[in-house]
Amino acid sequence: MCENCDASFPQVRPSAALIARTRDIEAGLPGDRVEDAAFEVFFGRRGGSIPWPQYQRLAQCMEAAMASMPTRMLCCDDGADGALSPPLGAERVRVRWRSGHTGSTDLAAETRRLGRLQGVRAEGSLTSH
Amino acid sequence: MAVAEEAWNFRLLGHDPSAAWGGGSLVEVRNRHAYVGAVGGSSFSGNEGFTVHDVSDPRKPRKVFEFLAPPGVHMHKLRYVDGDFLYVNSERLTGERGKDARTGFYIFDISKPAEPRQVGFFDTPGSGPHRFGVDNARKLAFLPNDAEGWNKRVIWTLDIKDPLKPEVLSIWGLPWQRAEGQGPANDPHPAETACTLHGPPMIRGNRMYAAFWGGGVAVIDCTELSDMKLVGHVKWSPPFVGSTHTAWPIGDRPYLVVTDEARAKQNYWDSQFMWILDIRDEANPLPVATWFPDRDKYFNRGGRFGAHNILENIPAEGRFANTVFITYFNAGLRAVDVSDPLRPAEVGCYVPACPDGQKAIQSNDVGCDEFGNLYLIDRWGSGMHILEYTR
Repeated sequence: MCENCDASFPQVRPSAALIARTRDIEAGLPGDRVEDAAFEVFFGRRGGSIPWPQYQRLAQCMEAAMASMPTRMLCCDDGADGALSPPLGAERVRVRWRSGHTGSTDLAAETRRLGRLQGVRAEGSLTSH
Repeated sequence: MAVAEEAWNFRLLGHDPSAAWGGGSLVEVRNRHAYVGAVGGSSFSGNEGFTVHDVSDPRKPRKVFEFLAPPGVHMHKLRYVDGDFLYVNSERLTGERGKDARTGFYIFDISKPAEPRQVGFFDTPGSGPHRFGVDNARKLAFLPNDAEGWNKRVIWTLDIKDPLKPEVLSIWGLPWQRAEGQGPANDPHPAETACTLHGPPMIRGNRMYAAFWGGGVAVIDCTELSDMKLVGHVKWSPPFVGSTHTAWPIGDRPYLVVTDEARAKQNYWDSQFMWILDIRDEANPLPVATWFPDRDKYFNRGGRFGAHNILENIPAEGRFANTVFITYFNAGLRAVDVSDPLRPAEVGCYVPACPDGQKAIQSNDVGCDEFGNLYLIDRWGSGMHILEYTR
């Protein structure tokens, strides 16, 4: 709980290419567009709130973007402080995204999700009892 | 590397780096004394136990007492109980270190605030209570604790009319935590996806709200404490990371503020954050908004980044109405206006200066005194900062 995870882990930033690809995918979806401010919050460029429907839409677009890009293009592209070397960093981004957000370790499954996304059927991501 | 203080609508009044030997977990402030539980040796090179600080003059806090935990015991959570008592948890340390620990909670008499005196102990099975709560108005305590017939920690509700003799009113868990025929679990540090009560549960009216780590948030009918019923539940782990920590209502409004606790390995863009849940339909709690500080700013600060706990009171009226004070590890303390629950907005922040020699600021928890001063606790060496909220 509060004590079992204080170790240091190397960190990575999303690349400009990943952000741009996410925006492209989002722009191509029907429905209400995500506000520019929400993009900035989502990618950590500023603080603020993101309405839940927009968060879901952003997360799914980013997942689709990741599935559609070469691994080396996912993480920091400028070698800034804190960035990992690109190959390791990119793989870490992908693994973290899979394990943390999708629960999947299967790239094919992510690609299938992309297909569903392009089919404009939002995935249910919550479980209510 | 030293990092300068950051203050917006907060002013530093006093600082005591000796609080919890530098590595604090939780603070309670009563009778002009601050009681600070320590995170101990598992995440900071400090002692297990708690310290007491005279804060009569918040500009000059000074340590007046310390209590060292017995071997194997983690005592990082403490709560004031009416009648001048202090409950302090006795959680089992992991592995071999905790094999002989006596689990439950200590009862201290603090009628002399600077001289706590142990006057009792309440035993519980398994790994012992983690972040427990006390409702002094209702004379109840809520323990996240293991129990026979349940998988991992569930809600123990105790009658504490006599603080020296707590009585168990009920033991309740989510229906899917039932584990008939099994003894109490013993897992002090469960995985972030484990369905185990974190807490502290709290009661508003005849409803209890509780956060279950990897198991989501529950709305519970507690009209009869001995016969509680699940009304609504929502869970987002997976796909989100989990570690759901706190669920607390906004005044008397039909919304909950929920935090997921950040872990170092999820630092930054997929870090845990603050949620707002709409509970107008209690049977179907729904997230309606999320909130984050500017993550890029803290990217290189080290340590954890992300949400942890809030000041466990979000009043409907008064100076702090609709304001969430949330600790965010290396992003310090943030004040968030939730007047519009669909659009939470930051209205202040305080990030302590990180001195040379300390790896990072790790703001863990926040407390409040009767004058409205806030007590920010750091777990990686900076101890306690006493703040005035100036907005």
